[in-house]
Amino acid sequence: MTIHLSRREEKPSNASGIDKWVPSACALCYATCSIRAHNVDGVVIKIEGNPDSVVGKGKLCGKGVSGLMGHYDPNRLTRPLRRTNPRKGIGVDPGWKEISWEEALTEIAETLKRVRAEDPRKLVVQRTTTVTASRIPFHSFAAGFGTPNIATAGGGLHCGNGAHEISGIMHASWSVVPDFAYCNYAIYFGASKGHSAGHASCSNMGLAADARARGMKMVVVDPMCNFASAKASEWVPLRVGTDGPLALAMCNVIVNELGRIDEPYLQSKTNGPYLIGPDKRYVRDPGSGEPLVWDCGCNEARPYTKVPSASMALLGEYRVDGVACHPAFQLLKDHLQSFSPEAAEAITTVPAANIRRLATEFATEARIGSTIVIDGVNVPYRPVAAIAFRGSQGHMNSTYNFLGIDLLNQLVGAADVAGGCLGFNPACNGFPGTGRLKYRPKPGRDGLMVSGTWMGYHYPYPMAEPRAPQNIGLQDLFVMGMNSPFLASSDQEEVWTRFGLPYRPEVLLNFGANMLMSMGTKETVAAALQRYKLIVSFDLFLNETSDFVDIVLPDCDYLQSMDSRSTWPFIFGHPAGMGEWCWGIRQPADEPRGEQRRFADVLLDLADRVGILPDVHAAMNASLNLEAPYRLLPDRRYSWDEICDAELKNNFGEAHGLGWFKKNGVITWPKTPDEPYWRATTEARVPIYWEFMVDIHEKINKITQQCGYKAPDEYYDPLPLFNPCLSHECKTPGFDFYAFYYRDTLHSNSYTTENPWLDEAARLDPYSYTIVVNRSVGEARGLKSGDLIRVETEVGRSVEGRICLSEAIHPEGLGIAGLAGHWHAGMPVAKGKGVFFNELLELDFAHASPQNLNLDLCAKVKVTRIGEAP
Amino acid sequence: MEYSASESGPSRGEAEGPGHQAVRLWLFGGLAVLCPERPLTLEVPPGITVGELLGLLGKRLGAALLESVMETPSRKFSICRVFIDGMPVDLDDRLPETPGGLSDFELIVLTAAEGG
Repeated sequence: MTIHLSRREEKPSNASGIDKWVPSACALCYATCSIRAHNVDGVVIKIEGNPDSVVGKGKLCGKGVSGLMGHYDPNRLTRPLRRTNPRKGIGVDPGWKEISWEEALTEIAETLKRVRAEDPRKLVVQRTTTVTASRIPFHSFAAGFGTPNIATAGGGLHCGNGAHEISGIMHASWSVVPDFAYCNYAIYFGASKGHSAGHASCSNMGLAADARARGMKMVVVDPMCNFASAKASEWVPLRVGTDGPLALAMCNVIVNELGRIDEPYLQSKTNGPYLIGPDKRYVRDPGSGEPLVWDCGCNEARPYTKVPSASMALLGEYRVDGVACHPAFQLLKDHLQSFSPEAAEAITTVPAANIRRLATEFATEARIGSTIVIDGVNVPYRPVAAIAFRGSQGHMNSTYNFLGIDLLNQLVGAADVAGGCLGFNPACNGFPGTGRLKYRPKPGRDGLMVSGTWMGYHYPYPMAEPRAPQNIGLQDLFVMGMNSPFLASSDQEEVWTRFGLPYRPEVLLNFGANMLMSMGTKETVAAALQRYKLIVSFDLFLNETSDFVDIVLPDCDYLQSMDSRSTWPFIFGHPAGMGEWCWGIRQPADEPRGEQRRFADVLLDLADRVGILPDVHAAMNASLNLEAPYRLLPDRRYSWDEICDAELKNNFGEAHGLGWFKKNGVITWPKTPDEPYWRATTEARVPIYWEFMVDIHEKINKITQQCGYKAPDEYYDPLPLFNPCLSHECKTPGFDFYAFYYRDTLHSNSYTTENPWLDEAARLDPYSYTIVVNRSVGEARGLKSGDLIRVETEVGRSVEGRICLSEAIHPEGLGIAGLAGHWHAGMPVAKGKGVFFNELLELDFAHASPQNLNLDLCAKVKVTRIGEAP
Repeated sequence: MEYSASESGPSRGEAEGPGHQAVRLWLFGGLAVLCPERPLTLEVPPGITVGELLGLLGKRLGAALLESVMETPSRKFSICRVFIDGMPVDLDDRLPETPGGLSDFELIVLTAAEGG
């Protein structure tokens, strides 16, 4: 084992104080890259990447190096505040009054005790996605309290109902990325891994740059040519939200025109050989209940566990007990024929000839059947990857869009093998010194893969059983949903009544999420917030959501906080592929100011006052997998630092507690090839045919039939279809642009717009604060860059801003950088900058996928010039 | 920080049947709302499985408990975690024999998935 150290260096400065470099972790986006913060005489003067860590690999993006400007923002909150004005509304002054922590926590605890006695589900716990480290404290508080209602506001709602679900089912991980070190051909669909913020951000930037320098071809499918596309070999512009049909047409070419598939992979690693009956379900062995396959060796149907994979039929029609049935792969092959390149061209605008070329390049570069020796181990080699993320899955067709894209990998065997599409670390052999942190995907029901670990407790497979809603998001009914719009939808009461939610939420405990800006149109979110009896919010600044908050608690930021698992879990934000494992902590580089307190300690204090401290400890024991002698005692009072120490010793041994990590920052050890390339040696299959959808559909409909709701058939087919967005069906004259937002690489969520350095960079950028329209289209309408325009939806939602004409956008597209356009005085740097795209998004049942509840993130709009360029 | 059950918990009761053993039950989070007494001591037949113990608990505390922990009659929710003497167990695992002592049986339902 090699342990690299990033020591906390401390020496006397020339002045009277100290001069120290503190190894810690960034929190300007959820990538949580390792940093070093330089503190001189009590002032943090510089932040840079920590070269001893693979999480960031010593690099730090513009947001990260600018962090100290947010840290020292004079608008930071330093005292608890309580509203004096009971009236809540957008722009209505709450009449803030400073109160003591004692007053604040006493009032909160009294309300929480009452609510818990009535029905603990009335509490909703919500947090920003930006600070990954908030997950364990807030989830544990919620579990200890007894509420299932956890949410991550817009950051979660917009981000990954499709992406995380399917990455989990198909790759046992939270997300996917090319194996940059060995990949030769990567195709991105609405994703920017390696070119922007997000999972393993700075690590992936370095890896992607090295791969491009090595010669990896990179194709980016996106309505806009920005962060990933601009660095790509080829940009493929397409109509917003049509990535699925494009990918399925490529699959069609690969299967039905080229016939270049990885048969051994499909036979041994997917459910492609499983026989499907006329009811769309597996044909099962009457004795064992196992799915049957057709054994070409003995020419009969046998349970899949009894047949060598090489003998399993992928094609043909067979009869079992007189009933016709087909291997799942045969059905997929037939199904794909409805996605001809010509049909896909009509949907996507991508020329059929280009679709054929891209498919041919992908299949050819896959080098089906090849192997490579890595660290002395011979592993399958498929140097192609098709990846996707928010852009392609943020639509009504969320699940099928992502599944269609991932089928490209599955068809050529490029899933979790060298050079292929990798999950973020689905398998780990554990820390060598203790064996802890060990996990690996394994076969579950019907031989299909179950993730070795999962970030959100609710495993993607096997699917949960639909049941009458107990959760305000209805995810327990629509079990493919992770994040839900019903926390703030315009029809939430109607939805809850219709589906029989037995209670209504009363208290919102919010951590840093600015719901009013992050979810959808502000009036709808405002109305939902007004229904709460008490809203408590941990915040750095007053923001738009603060107008609805009753008690604001001044939080410490990441340079003042402690967390024992800033990079955890490995499936979320740790670089994939070969290299090293790395575990780092976050620790304070500066002290709290005024009465700022660390949220984790506040939650423990609050839990004690509410009387749920033993319950929160039990939740932490379970969530952190703490074992004796590090399990938390029910009734003892711990500081958060003590809990961090327990977790670190639990994972890395008694010698590697918090004290060791404070000094050394990170601990690393090498990966072995069977970890990133686990697929070949793991006896688990993935579903290219989603048979379980039939069962889920029936069960949902059985529950909802009494309220007259039937989940649409076209969203529950075992094979991927194209279900258009509502915007695709808008035919109203004049509404001829598809408005979409993109994640500006200069900003994270909504709060970095308050950072003066990032704001300055964004103002220099021609796109960050403007509305981007195709140059030819704009000029044909007499528009010129700098004109003031109004963008309006069919129902009258509108935003205004300066137009930027550019060749770098699809002719039908209208692109806006997400989450600018603040209007609150609490963030004066951000106020008035950019355009608030989410104002155009409806938050209701009709705009949520009936499959996974993903919000439809595009809108058909018309553009009107309302002012000349200055 | 070694986990050990509180000494102030109820003392071991008389066995209800020959060879029965006592188990100390700790219900946390939302489950604790269903059973304010913590720990709760239950006499159970020797060698029963965790699933069978949950069934007994359901009879004692009512259907709401089982609805909270069991996804189907034979499968618990993946977010429901069960520990015996601090070690994670599943439905098919059997309670250990603890001559002269008690096993601590902990049950908690964690929260659901998140995004990001």
